Order: sequence, then C-alpha cells, then structure tokens
Amino acid sequence: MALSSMRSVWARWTTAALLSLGGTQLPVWAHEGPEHEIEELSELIAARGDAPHLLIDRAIEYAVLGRNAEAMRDLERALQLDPDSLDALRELARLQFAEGRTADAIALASRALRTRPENPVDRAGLLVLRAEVQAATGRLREALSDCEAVLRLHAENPEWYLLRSEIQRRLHKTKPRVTGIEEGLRKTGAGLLKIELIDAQLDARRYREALVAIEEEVASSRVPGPWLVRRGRARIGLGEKEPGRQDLRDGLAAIDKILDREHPDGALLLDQAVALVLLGDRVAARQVVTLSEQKGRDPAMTARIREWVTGDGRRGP
Amino acid sequence: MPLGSLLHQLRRLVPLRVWIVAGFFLECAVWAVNPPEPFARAPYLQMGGTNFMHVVWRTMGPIQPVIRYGVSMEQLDRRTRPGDIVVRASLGTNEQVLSPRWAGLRTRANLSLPKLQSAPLGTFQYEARIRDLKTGTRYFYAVYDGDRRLTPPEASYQFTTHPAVGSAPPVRFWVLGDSGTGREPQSAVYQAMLRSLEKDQRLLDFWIHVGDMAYGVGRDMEFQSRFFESYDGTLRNRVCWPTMGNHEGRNSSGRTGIGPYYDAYVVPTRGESGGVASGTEAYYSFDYANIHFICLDSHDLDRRPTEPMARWLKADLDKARAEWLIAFWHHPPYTKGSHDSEKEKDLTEMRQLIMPIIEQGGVDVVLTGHSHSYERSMLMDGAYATNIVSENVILDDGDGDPSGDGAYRKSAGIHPHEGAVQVVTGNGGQTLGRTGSLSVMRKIIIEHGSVLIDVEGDTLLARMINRDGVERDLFSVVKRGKVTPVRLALPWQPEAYVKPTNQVSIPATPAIDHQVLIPEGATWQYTFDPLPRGSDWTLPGFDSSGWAKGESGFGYGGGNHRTSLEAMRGKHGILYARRTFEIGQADRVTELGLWIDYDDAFIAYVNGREVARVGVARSSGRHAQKITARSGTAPGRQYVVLKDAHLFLKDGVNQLAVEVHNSSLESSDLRFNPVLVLED
Repeated sequence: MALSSMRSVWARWTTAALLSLGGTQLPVWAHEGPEHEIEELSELIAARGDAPHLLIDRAIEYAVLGRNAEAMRDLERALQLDPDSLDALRELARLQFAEGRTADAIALASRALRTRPENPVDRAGLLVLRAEVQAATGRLREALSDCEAVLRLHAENPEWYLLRSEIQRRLHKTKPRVTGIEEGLRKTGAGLLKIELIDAQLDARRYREALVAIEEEVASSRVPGPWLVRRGRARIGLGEKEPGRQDLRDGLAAIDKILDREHPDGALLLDQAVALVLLGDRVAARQVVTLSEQKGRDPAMTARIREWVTGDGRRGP
Repeated sequence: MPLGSLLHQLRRLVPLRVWIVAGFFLECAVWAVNPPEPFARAPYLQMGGTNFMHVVWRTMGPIQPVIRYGVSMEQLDRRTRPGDIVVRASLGTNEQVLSPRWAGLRTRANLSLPKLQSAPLGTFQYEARIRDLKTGTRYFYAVYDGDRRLTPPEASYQFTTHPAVGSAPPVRFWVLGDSGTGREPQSAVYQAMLRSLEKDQRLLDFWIHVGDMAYGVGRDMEFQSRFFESYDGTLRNRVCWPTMGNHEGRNSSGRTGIGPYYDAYVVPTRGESGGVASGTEAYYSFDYANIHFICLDSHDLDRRPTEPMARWLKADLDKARAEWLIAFWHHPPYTKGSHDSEKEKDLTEMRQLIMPIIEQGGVDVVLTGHSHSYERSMLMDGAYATNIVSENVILDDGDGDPSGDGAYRKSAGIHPHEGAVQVVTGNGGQTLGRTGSLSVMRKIIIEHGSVLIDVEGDTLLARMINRDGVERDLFSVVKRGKVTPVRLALPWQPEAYVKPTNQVSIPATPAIDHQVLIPEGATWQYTFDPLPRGSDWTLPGFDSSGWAKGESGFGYGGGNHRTSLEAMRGKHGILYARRTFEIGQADRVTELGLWIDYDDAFIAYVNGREVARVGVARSSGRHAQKITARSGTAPGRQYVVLKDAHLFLKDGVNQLAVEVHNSSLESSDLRFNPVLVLED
C-alpha cells in the first residue's frame, strides 16, 4: 500500500511537471460524437489495413447515425476476414432484421450458432435474435423452439419469458403459456411477468385466478383504466355481466382522459379495443384500429388490436 | 500519555461528526491508488434499502469473508452469516494454461461458484447483504478474513440505511457522468465536489453515475482504475447507483446481463429497494425518502413502447407514490453537446419512444450523460419531434433560480405533463464538446463539473459545480398546491452557436495513477544499418545480439542526446529499437502508453503486434509511406496510448519494439526518447 501510494504521489507530481513543460496537442480520446469516431477509425483502417475489430467498431458508429448500409458493409468485410466473429455475425444479423432482410438475418444467426460460442449466454442471445426474426415473419413454431432452447440455457432473463409468452399467445397455446410465465416469475420475480400472467390467465379463461391479481392492481395503480378493463373482462367471463360492463365503461373513461391521440400508447389502444368489443361497440372499436394504423408506432401492436376487433384468434371475453 | 487515553481525550473534545467528516475527506485526498492487499477491489457499497445494505469487495485468491458491523465504531458487535455473502470467482477456462498460482484454485468447490465474466484470473468477489437493520441508521463496518481484520479501523467505513419511504428528510445526492478517464479533469471534478461538501458541512446520502465510468471500452481493469480506485473514498460509505454507458456497453450487454459492468454492480432486480421488480439489472428503480428513482438502459435494449423495458417503465410509474420522480440513463433525448440528439438514433429514440412515457408518468427531472457538456433545459413537456423546436413545449422559460426568475412550479404529487427538467451532465472528465445550441436549453456550459441535488420536502435544488468548485448553474423545482401548466408559444431561446474554426485540442496525458515501466535513460538495443528484413525484429526472442546498445534518448541534431546517432545523418532514415519490460499479471493492465519525444514519426509494437502509429500513413519499415514531418512548433513529449496493447501482453517478460522514421534524409535532426507508462 505504502509503495503504491508513494508511486502514485510521485506519478501525480511527475505528470504535473511534465504537463507544465507542455505536451503536443493530441487528444487521448478525441470524443466528439460518432462522426469523429468514424473519422478516427477510418484513418486507422487506412493505415493498418482492414481489421475485424476496427470494422466492427466503425459499423457500430455508422449504425448510431442510421447509416445502416455502411454499417452492414463494414460488418460483411469483417466477416470476410474473420468468418467466425461472433460480434460481427450478431450485429449484422440485427441490422439485416432492422432492414427487413429477415431471411438473411435468420441465416446469419444460424451461422453464428454453428460457431458454437463457449458462453451459454452468448448462445442464448443468438437464439433470441433468431426467435425474434422468426416470430416477426410468422415462423412461430420455429420461434417457439428457439425460445425453449434459450430458456434451457439461461433462465434468468424475464424478457425471454415474455417473448415465449407472446409466441405462445399467437399460437393459442394457452396452458403452456400460463405455466411458462409462472416459471419465469419464480425464477426472476419480474413485475412484467406478473402482468403478463394476468393476461395469459384471461386468455385461458382462468378468470377467477386472474381476478385476484387484478383486484390488487386496481387498488394500487395510479392509472386504473387498463386494470378496470381487465377486471371487466374477468367479471364478464365469470358471468357478472353488469358489473363487468360498468368496469369496461369506467376503464374507457379513465383511458380517454390520459390517451394522447397524437402519439397514442399502443397498449392503451388495445385496452380500448378490448373494452369496446366486449361492450359490443364494433364501430368505435374499428376507429381504434384506424387510429393505431395512422398514429401508432408499432405495427405488431396494431395487428394485435385488429385481431381483437375482427375476432381472429380470440376466444371468449 | 498512552495512545488510547490520548485518543479518548481527543474524541471527547472533538465531536464525532467532525471526525467522520474529516476522516471522510482525508481518505478521499489520496486519489486513485491501488487497493491494499489482499484487496483487489476495496470495499464499496451497493444496493441499499430501509433495512439492508450491500458491501462488495474483491480479493486475489479466496478468503473467509465476514463483515462485522455495528452502530458504534468501537463495537462492531454483529456479523454476517455465510449465507449472506455471494461469492463469485474468475478462474479461467479449461483451455487456458494457468500459472501454478492460479491453477491450484481450480478446485471443484471454487469452480462451482458463479463466474466473474472478465475479472483478472484469481479474483474472488464477495457480495455481502447485511440485513435486519434499522431504518435511517448509520452503521460502521469492517471486512474480515475469518478473524483477521482487513479494513483499517476508520470511520469512513460506514453506511446509512435509507430513510423511511415517504418521509421527507433533507436528501442530497451527487450526479456524475462520463468521468472514467483516469485523467486530471476527473480528479478535479471529484475534488471540487468534495470541497463543496466540506464547505456546506453536509455530506452526500448517495450518488448516481449516468454512465461512461470506464473508458475506453468498459474492461474490468478500466473499471478498476478509472472508477473504483478513483472514487474509493466515497464508494466505501455511499452507494453509487449506476446506469450503463455506451463505453461500458462495448464489453457488457444489457440483453444478457453479462460483462464487467454487471460483474461490478449489485442493483435491484426484485424491487428490493422499492418499485416494480424488473427481473434484470439493466433497468431498475429504488425509493429514497420521498423520491422514486428510475434507471433505464438507453444503450442496447429495444426502446419501443411495446418492448419490455418501456412496459416495465410504465408499470413502475403506475405504482409510484413518491412526491418526486427522477429518472436517469445515459443517452440524452435533448443535446447538442458532443452528441447531437437530432441526428443520432439512440438519442432520438429515447426522445420519441421513452419520453412520452416519462412525461405521462409525471417525472420531474431527467438526468443523462453521454454528451460531454453541461446542458440544462427549461421546464418542458412534449418535445418529441425529430427536429426539436421550443414553441409550445416550454412551460416556464425562466432560469429556474429562486433568486432569479423563480423556481419552476409544479403541482404537489404526481401529475402527467406538468413538465420535466432535462439535465445533461456528461462533463465529469472526458474531453468536452459542443455542436450547437438546442432551443429548449436554458444553460449550456462547456466546462468540466458535476451536479449536486438537494431535495427537502417540496423543494428540489440542483447546482452544477465546475472543476474549480464554482457554482455555474442553479435551478429549483417546487411542487406545491395546484399548478395549471401553460405552454409558451414563443419562449426564450439560447443564442445560436457558431463552432470556432480553429479549436485547440487538449494534450493527451497519462492516467494520474500510473507507473513507469521503461524510464528515460533505460538501455535499448538499436540498429539503423543494416535493417533486418520483414517484421520478425518486433517479436520476442528475435536475435538482436548484433545490435548496438544505448541509453534513451537517441538522436542527432537539435540538442543533447544520451546516445548520439550522428552516423545516421544524411545516410539512414529509419531507426529500429527494442527493449523488454515486465508485467506481473497481464490481465490486470488497464492501459499502456508511450510518453515520448520523437521526430518525425514512429510505429510501436508489443510482442510483434502494432499498437501505435504516429506520422506514418501506410505500411512499415523500409516500405513505410507518407511520413509526416513532426511540426517544429510541437516539440517535446507527447502521450500516445498503445491501443489494444493489453490484448497482446503476457505475464512476465514482454517485448516493445519501435521503428522511428525521419521524413527526409536531409532532415537536420532525429529524436527518439521514450518512456513506457503503465496504468494498472
């Protein structure tokens, strides 16, 4: 300790002395944003030649600026030099997915998996990526298979349970969905899984179980509208039609107070759609679909709202 | 008088709190030193709550970990149980060839421990949860190895549990961003904060780091040197609540929760400190008195409102009951400092996808970093456009200063869309920058500094203290009664910014905490005639027995040189030089650099791998091209980081090789005077 302290004190004074003599004007990390990083990396690449890690670093900066084509070009070049570079494979697959090149993204994620990353969490991350792309392209069974593999490798990430739950919902696998979320809750304790479990129980017509948790949420929530809609759905499912309908009306009123119609929250729109359909007001429900199509920010959520309104894939309240 | 009696007399005369404050500052006075053995990382506080606290530390090799603690420094009468301490270890992989020192640690029991993902070999990390504590109570603690005390008996080893949730004692916390350089500005900012506390005679309750605490890429040793050693004196008695920056994000992943950032920190995942359980350390929340804090991962998680982080944010805001809501993350939704929130995807998405949830949820203040500037907005709401305009999004265009235009006013309680103040505080030590003036900003200050925030009851007061201890900004928010927000159609705007055409670069310097591996005047092997062919001469084990030997600095012309190279003048333009150096444990190196006087250009290699190139545009050796003459107006030493050198180092002897080039044989001088510097 003493020696290292003395060394450090000496170091500080030496540094001060040397600084006072003046150094040349060269920043250590001339850190002025991604454009500057790209410039510096390009100089290094020009001097040293293409090196995978430099190309990957530059690709990341290009992606920050939304220059995806250049980012992908750098990653492709990095893969020519190091075909098994996990970073390059993963980043390129993500960009391809973002650009709608889903077949390429799946192929690349699969290729990355064939490199057999030693760390199981790296393998899990690649499987998740592939599952997300497959889910987005409607290959739900393949997506589910990947999700199951993910959770065998790494069971502590609540987001992966949510992904599996969503895929199971679309496949109408209601029972496994519920047990899967319960497993995730036990392992992670994540509050989102508690909410997801309620929705899964409602979809599985386990209304009584759902109602217990919903009542807790109604009591503790500052934004009761969505919970009133869920309670309404559960009550109707249990045959308590009029209290249920009143909950739906109260829920709609509460949501209406907070909904920003210029930047609508997709989840609130879904709650609105659910309530309106259950109240039998399909005209208003279709207007919600239109609003989501025009102003919503997530096509997947709009699709879900449309499902509810058209009745596709929905069973019961 | 026996020492014990003397101490007793002194203690009677001087109030304990003075000892505590003095001790606190004394410990902080020595900056960024390596921790004393056997610590590999000195004890630091993590996740706290009303009745628990975490103390985390590391050792090289295992110990029998115990924390003893108590409400009195003289009587640490309670101790942790084995089950209260999570142990994690870095023991290498089956494929690695380990030295006997570490190979012996790969026992069945040790290999079954949770892994430290990227710590140096032989590191054991202990995460002690101390529970069943009283609310709002100070405890002193000591770390033991069995019965052997490891931490000195000093008052600075203490912690205080959180006050009761919903109570309203005065709260003070420090906010710091983009500090992790290991350089002088980082130290200056920290010291300025400490002096401010001393002047106020008011300590911190905790602190928040808004990311980029470990440049360049968030490696474990960068964390060690540039965060844990740098703030050791504060970390041991005040919890730091972190959020991941993009530099940490190079080696850590929010998606998987793996990496040095996640190794280092212990934060809530099950709502332990309040808030909705997130299930992940990437984003979390906690309560402190009447304030609810929300931390997001703005770096590498999906920001869309239908994705888990945004959904959790909504759920957490839905349940929040505190008087104050403060959110923090790394990437600012509004900035024109060294980053531009209108051009960069990460920043734009935080603005367009996350800010609507934040403002709907009634958040009062948003703290961010990333942009190396200090920027502070007016009271604002609803600015989500790609090109940010201030018309109809500013609710109060005053300066927020109670003795100026007055504090920003909001209603008591939590209400949507009554305005938030954005604070960008990425000015904690990294090179500063500015690209423009954002119309929503009330203050734009391009100086190093950090922010102190005081919350007392219904009043929040925030101050930016610069590196010289000068208060450079102050604003207040008061939440009282009922306020009806009014959007200003033509609010005040900052002056437009014209970027200067000839900006002066900041000279590079070694880290403050460094040691010299190859000093000036060390003996090197060198040759300029003949030059060996190829690049083998850069490798360890190359036979350079026929080379000359001389003490650095080398050269001819322009002053005295220990080793004259007059024989090169007019005949030879390239000098090759070699020297070995020793590294105890390669994976404990943070940075290698050359503090070098040279003329005109050079390329440096470590163990045969190029690690620095200055003034040589392409190729190397006799094929080097486009050599730039070093400017006559830029004499003297320059610090050059040997980038990625840590990847090529090995335990024990390593080889440094440097080729020095003159831009022309007619040049009147040549200089090569290197010092190899290590930050560990």
